[in-house]
Amino acid sequence: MAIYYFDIDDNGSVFPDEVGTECTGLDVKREAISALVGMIGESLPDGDHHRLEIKVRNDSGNVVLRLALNFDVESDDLSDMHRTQRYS
Amino acid sequence: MVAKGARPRNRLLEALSREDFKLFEPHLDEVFLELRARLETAGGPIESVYFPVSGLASMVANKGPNLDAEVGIIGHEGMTGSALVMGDDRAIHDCYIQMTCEAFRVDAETFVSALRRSKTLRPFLLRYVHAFHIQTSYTALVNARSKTDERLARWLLMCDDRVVGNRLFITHDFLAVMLGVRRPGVTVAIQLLESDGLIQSRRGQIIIRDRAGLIELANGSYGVPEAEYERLVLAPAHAS
Repeated sequence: MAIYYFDIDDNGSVFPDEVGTECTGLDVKREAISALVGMIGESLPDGDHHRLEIKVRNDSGNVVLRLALNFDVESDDLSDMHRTQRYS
Repeated sequence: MVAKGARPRNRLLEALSREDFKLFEPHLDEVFLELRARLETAGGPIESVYFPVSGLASMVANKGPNLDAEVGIIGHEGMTGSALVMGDDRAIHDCYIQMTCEAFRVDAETFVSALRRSKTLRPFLLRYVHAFHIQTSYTALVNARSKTDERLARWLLMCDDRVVGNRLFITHDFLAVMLGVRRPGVTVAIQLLESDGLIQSRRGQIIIRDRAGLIELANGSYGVPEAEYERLVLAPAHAS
């Protein structure tokens, strides 16, 4: 077991982990993925673009894992489409 | 009324009728419960009933390693072992100490015998068990529908109600279990509350700075179970 630090960047809001979590190297990736998936669900909907990133540092300060989810919506203006259909 | 000085500082015990309290009084042991002391084990028999005076016990449901979530908080307003009141003799979830706790302990056998001997004890305690279930139903609601920062606000308020002083000794790992989220989610929620000036977080402790602000952030998830507890448990005692 070692201490790992999970730093979060939620669409530009940075939350450095100053406490750390004790876990095995094998658990680090699973923990980070679960956290990322759980957190993105809370952040959305939040506009058409969102990036959530987790960087995991070890006790020496080296980044040992980095993962990110990019959320992007591309669309025409749906309210305009609705109006066009209705009045054309 | 019994002289106040003779009564313990557990609100549930205080709300008992004099006659019902007498059934317990000779059998109550004062105990000190260390952090993570296990009071009940899922599937196992309930051996004792604890009436906390300070600190907190936590009922935690578990469906595998790292897949546990708190389903109930018990402090000086309540008791562990509520299954006994419902006629069962075993625990469905784990129950352990989440913040070191002074408590009154009575063994399950004595407790059940008191339930049998009194006509009023079980009906009264059923009202507490119902209040406890209301708390749990709100936990289910917030776990399904509220964001982690709102859930954290509610949880901190519930702890603040039960703990002496405004400092809560709690690790982020423990909080993750309490809120049913992964640890990094706890980091974010704590820092959000801290940047809003609602709490101050230090290693291993959280200091409540703005209770009214926490209630606002909890967004309706705090207050109803607490009011229901007052109505169900305290109001009848005061009326009699």
